[in-house]
Amino acid sequence: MVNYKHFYSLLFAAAATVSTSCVDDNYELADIDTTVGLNLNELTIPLNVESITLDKLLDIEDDSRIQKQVVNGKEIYAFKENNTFKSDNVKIPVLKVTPQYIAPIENTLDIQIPSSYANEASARSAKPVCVFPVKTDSETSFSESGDADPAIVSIKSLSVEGTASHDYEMHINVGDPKIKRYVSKVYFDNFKLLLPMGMKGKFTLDVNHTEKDVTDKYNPKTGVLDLSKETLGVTDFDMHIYADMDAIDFEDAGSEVTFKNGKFTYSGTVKVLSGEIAIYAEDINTGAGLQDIPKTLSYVCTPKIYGVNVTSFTGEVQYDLDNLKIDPVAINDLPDILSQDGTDIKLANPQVYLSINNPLNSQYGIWAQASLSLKATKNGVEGNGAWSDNINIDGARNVFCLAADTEKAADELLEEYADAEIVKFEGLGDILSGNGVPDKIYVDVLNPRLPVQEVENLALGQNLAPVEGSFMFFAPLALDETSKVIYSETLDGWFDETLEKLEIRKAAVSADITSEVPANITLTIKPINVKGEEISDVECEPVTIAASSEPQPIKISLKGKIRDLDGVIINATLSGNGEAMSPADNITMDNFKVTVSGEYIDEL
Amino acid sequence: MKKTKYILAALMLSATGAYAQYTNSGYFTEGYTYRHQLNPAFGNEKNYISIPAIGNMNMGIVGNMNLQDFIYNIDGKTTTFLHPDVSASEFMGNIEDENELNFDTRIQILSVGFKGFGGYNTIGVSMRGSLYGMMPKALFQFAKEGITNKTYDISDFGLHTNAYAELALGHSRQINDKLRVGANLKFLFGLANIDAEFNKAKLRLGKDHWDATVNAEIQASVKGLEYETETSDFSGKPYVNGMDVDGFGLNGFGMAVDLGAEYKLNDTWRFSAALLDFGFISWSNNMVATTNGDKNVTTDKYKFDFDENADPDFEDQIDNLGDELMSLYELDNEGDKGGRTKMLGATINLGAEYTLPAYDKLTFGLMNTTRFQGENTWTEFRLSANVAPVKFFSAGVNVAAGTYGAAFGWIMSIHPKGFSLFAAMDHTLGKVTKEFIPLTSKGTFNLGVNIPF
Repeated sequence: MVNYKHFYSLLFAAAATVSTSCVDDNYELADIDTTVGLNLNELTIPLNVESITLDKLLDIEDDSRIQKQVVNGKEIYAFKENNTFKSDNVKIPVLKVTPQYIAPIENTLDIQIPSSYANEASARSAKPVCVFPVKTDSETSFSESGDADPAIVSIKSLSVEGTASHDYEMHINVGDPKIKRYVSKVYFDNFKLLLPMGMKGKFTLDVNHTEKDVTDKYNPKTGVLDLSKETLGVTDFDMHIYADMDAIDFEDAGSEVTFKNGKFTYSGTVKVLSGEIAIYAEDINTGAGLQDIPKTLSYVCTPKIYGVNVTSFTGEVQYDLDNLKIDPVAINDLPDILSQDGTDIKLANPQVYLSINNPLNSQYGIWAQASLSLKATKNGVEGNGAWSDNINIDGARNVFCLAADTEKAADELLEEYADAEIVKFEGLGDILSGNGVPDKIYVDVLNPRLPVQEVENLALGQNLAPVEGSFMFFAPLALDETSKVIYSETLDGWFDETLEKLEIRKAAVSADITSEVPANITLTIKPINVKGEEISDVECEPVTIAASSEPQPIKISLKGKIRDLDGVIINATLSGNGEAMSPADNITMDNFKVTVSGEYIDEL
Repeated sequence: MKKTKYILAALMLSATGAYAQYTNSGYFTEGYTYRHQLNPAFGNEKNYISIPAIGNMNMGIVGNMNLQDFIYNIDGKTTTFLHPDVSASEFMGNIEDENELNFDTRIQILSVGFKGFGGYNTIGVSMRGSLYGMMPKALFQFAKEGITNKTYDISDFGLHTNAYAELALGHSRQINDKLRVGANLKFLFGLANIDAEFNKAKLRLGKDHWDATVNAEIQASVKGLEYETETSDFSGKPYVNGMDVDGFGLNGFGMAVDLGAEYKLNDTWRFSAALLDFGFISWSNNMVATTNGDKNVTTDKYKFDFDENADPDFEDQIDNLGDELMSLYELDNEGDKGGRTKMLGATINLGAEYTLPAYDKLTFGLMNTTRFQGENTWTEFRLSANVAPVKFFSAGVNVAAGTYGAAFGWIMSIHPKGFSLFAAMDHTLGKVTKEFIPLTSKGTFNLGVNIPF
């Protein structure tokens, strides 16, 4: 039998002797510190990176004010804001012409008996038995006037609309009872009347309640109504002349019409230039004779003029268009890259497109004129402005492209405005310039007006079609070289259990970049810790990426101890070269490499 | 669970044998019961029978990967080599280009030795196992020196395990006054043999592009083993992601011979030579999982898009690259490719023993051992002093130098009548941790209790 007791005793003694004497107290696996440090030594990670277009990089949102626009077949980024505008209706009030009282001409006419009168009864062809010549030296004045709207600068002619049944009338009455007793009829022979000159319209002769158109007897240039050829035998001893005016011709009216300082005056002298009241033998009542005829005859000439409303005029007009306002352009909903403080955007080719309908032009040949002013504001503080003086709106449809650089604008006109007239718009390129992009651009239409110009038959008192149109602020995202877009973005929230254990000593991103983006981009990257503070003592050299078709090596380096990394602040500064940025602008990054040195320390 | 149980069993068995399957310290030690295992020409003076299972327990670990190279004391605290305060130069100075570790074990189930047939005869049944792992220096450079832009070649990364039962029949006899010869005929019953190796594994971290190449293969001869598979995210094909063993048992048969001779030149000099484990095992199956040649991944084919709306986007591509990198290690299940025959690792022992004329109880021996096992071939020279002052006690001390460095060994055998106890260490444990874990990878221990009669 084996003596196991001895065996195990020996085994134990041997093991104990050998083992205990060799225990190294420096090593205790039960309490081992499992801290592990894994190093990255200038490890370069090469990546094949897809080229990226600006479209993907900017990721413009649908509601952004900057959108893709097609210009000459090329898609570009542009700020585009549309507004419409409409003036109040053009309306020049009716010119109301108010008459003044006209004193009647009253005379006593003396009888003349022709020498050949032989007391014979004769027909009308015979000579009168007596006549009473009208006294032609008697006259009276007429006057009517009205204050015209200031829009009426001068008048050549007026169209009028009467306010009474007639506009002018002259009533000649010789109804002396003494003569009526012996005569049944008298004749108004050889009558020529001096009426107001320049009248145009219808002239009516009313005798014995019978009207006769005698328009052709009136000479507007002289004002003479020649009735001498008329046989005017009247039984009621009255003669009425009526004028129903359509217009007053200022040239014909001569000095009788004045329009000065907005006051219209129509004045002059009216009288009977010639004429006689003739009595023929046949008209002497039975039983009476020449001897019974009174030797004098009462004669009353009563001119009357009534107020008229001028409904249109030919002459010169000048009119201020009212309420021609364009809503401010709100510069909001811009991409983050353009909306930060410090950004100073100077656009290479901003344009303002104005499309204006001027219905007055087609109807009256009227042209309008206005100046346009833009004023940028940011938080209520006025910034830069732009202006364009005296834009002539001389067609029925007027399309303008207002641009700071007219040559450039001509090359880059939007297709739908291909026929636009290019007008210099001073200062437009700097409209967005300043410390930060403005939040509004106020558009002022300055002095919109119909300049002094001749018109024909311009209606008064009517609502004429307004001037209206559309306004579009179109600014291709084309920065000039003095622009400075400052963009800062904080990417954070990275810190986690992994980054807590990572210490980066050096990091670099390098690439050969070919950029079609028409901008010089200067980048700096600063690491931040969990408190959001920049990690101190970390060197970061800025790099510049220029627009270039040739690959340009760039390297962004961070040197210094980076711990508790929570993210980075990317600061980018952009300036342009005048070309518009396009969604298709490509950035190619060849030889893209990330190089890292650092240590990852963790507990296993 | 069944899978785990059997694999663990195989590995534990493996972790009990080639280096420590023999105790070289006992080669010249009179009274060491199992000298015949070192050279079948050696015969014992007495018959013996082993105590079952504890007649001869060999176990050991040998290699050039020392625990003390991987743990450090920093400010009074035990740390791993990956601790940031452990300098890379200090650590890498302790790492060889090829780093190997052998776990070996041999448990004698039963052994009997007896005189007869004109010589000395032995019958032994033992379980033998070995586990050999190798790791290239580049692997540790990757982990410790810091990842940088260079090529990491981890091709010499592999694991081999072998476990079998052995029935050995030995006989030695004196040919003449000077020459004694012996032989063991071994019948081998295979349990498990697994070879897993990266034939090629290179990670080229260039500054312009990265690429990786892997060529790996697992050959497993284990009864009832099946590979488990799942579908690759990358290729959509099934790949091996585990193994299952159902019906673990004998899976091969082989034979081997040990041949030995001892020549006594004179009273002071003896020379001996032995060839051990010259044989083979024919395994019944060969479950193969392989990359089927080189698998390559290059970063050039991946283009990364910073556009978050891209398909694939940046993160997708990182995932895709990760999936393909992972696919490098996805092995195709080739199934059972049929049986395979593997040679055992043969060992040659050469010895020269000098007996001190003035005191013939004291001898000095010089032994060379060379084990031939492919890339795990090693050799050592061992110089020993052995003493047997009395009949029931013998001991020896020795120093060795070889592939795995220097070693100090000893043996002590107490073998009074009716009882034999020996203990030996070819590689004496140096310092150990407080938990008695050897700080070096050189430690073998041989202990046995037998009954001589």
